[in-house]
Amino acid sequence: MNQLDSSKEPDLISEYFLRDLSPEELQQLQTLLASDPNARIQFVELGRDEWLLHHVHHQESHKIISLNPRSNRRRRIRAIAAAAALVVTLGTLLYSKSATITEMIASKPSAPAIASVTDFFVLEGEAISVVNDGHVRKLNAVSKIREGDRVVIPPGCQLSFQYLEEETEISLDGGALVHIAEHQGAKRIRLDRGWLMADVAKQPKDKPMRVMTRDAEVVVLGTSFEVFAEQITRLSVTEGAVRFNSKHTGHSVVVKSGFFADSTEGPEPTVPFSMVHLLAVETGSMHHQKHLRMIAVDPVRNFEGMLKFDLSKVHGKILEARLRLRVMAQGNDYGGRGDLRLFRTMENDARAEVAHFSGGVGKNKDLIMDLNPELLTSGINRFELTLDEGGNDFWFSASDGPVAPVLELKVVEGK
Amino acid sequence: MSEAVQLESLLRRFYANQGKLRGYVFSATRDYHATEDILQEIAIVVAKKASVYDAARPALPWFMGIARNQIQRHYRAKGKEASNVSYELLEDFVPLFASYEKEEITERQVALKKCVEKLPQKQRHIMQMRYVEELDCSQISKTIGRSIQGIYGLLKRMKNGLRKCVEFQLQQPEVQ
Repeated sequence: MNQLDSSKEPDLISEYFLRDLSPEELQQLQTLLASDPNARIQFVELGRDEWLLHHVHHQESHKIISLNPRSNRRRRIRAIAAAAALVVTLGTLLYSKSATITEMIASKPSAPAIASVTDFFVLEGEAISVVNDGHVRKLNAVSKIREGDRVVIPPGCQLSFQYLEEETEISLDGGALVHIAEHQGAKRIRLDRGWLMADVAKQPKDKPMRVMTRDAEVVVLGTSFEVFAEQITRLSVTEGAVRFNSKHTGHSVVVKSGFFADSTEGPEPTVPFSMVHLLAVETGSMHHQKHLRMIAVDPVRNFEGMLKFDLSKVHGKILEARLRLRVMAQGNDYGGRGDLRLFRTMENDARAEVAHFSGGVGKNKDLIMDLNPELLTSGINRFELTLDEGGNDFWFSASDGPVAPVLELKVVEGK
Repeated sequence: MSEAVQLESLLRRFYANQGKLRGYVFSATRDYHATEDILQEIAIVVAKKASVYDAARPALPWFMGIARNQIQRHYRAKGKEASNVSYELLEDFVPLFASYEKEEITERQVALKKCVEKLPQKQRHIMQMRYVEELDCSQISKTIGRSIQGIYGLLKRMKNGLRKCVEFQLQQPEVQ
């Protein structure tokens, strides 16, 4: 067995990360690592430090930041385009049988560019990746979107892109999985999962844009809309009109401004709705008295968030409910990460989980949780926020902080 | 379990293990950009093969198997012999690679930024060549007219100094 020269041990480990070792040196290093637990720790720590040096310099030279925060973006008004909001919720299938990955990546790597990235946000250590014809690439703030691209957006990240030579813009939130294509000059987006919002400029009458989900399809000639993917498909239009085809029921309806539809077999194909935004009437951090302008959630320190919303003036059936929380930071600059759970608490202290978020969210970004509306009641609704073990603490703006928590509701109107 | 639920579950497990996988891949490639590319490749392969994956099997060894194939592809694409520590050995280190996880890295990264900013101009220039321009040690030695052994020694001393500085920063009490 080779006798190891202890004076060379740190050199071989260090130099492994600086150059290619000779076969003899590599063998010597492996023998050392196999026999000495301290050398293993040193090897891993030196490697981590080397990676971190690359990472820090890479971050400095290629700042990954939001270029055009959505809240500041001027909404374009188009005379021709109607405005609509579409919310589609589909089952947990990420890839339906009719649209497999193989089918999705069938386009060529030389596929033409059809859009440019206009807004881009990724968390440190993550990337928005694209598959096209089996080739994988990472998007950045100046990337082009190509025909046939399949885009995977990790939780907490955001992407917007604008079609070339027209003002149609698509925005996608973290967790979205989309396939972007064109068919004989008509735009096609298949949303397998996640949330999508679009401003669509006027399209040729014979070439409408189509947004397809597992169980529904939206046909658009010029409008603005949102798509969110979960259990079923839901559509809510705020201006203009779009055609909504449900694959569940076979129904095809035109959904006009102020109306809502979903893909299930309901009593009415569309119902009128209105948007209600409720600010939290009270917020707090349980087990934590400081930072009154923030809601702290940290499993290590047993901090849990508390929020109360007053729904006593909300009349009519709630179709959808979303909680929007602004992520602040405490002593670092990247926000929080982990499995965050929202519970509705009852008078008898019983609590029911109404929403779950898994992933990370950057500082000054909004964390949005889709709530089960059936668990909301008239009057004061109290919620608790917890983070699972292993999560990295979240700090949210409280009701007296810079951006108060908001409960966004879509409510059936006029009944 | 449906195909979709399985895919979602696998992707969650992938992201939960990303730090460990990053440590494994970087320790084999020692190439920052290749490491990030390989992590993306793993996510794509996971998405492609989720439907045929046996959910009863632990996911991390599967991810590492994919990583290993991708690392081998990386070396083949570069047209060079793999010169990494054996995969079997690196697989034994997986628990230690938890030190690459975001929770472990974040504070260290903040401290490291501060320490790099404190470096003398000459040393920062070397750091720039190595980590921004991504020159190897022989290219740096030619640029600044020092022996390659001298560059190894210099980089090692700088990294040791930075490490001590980082440890010192991390021991400072947190400012509320």
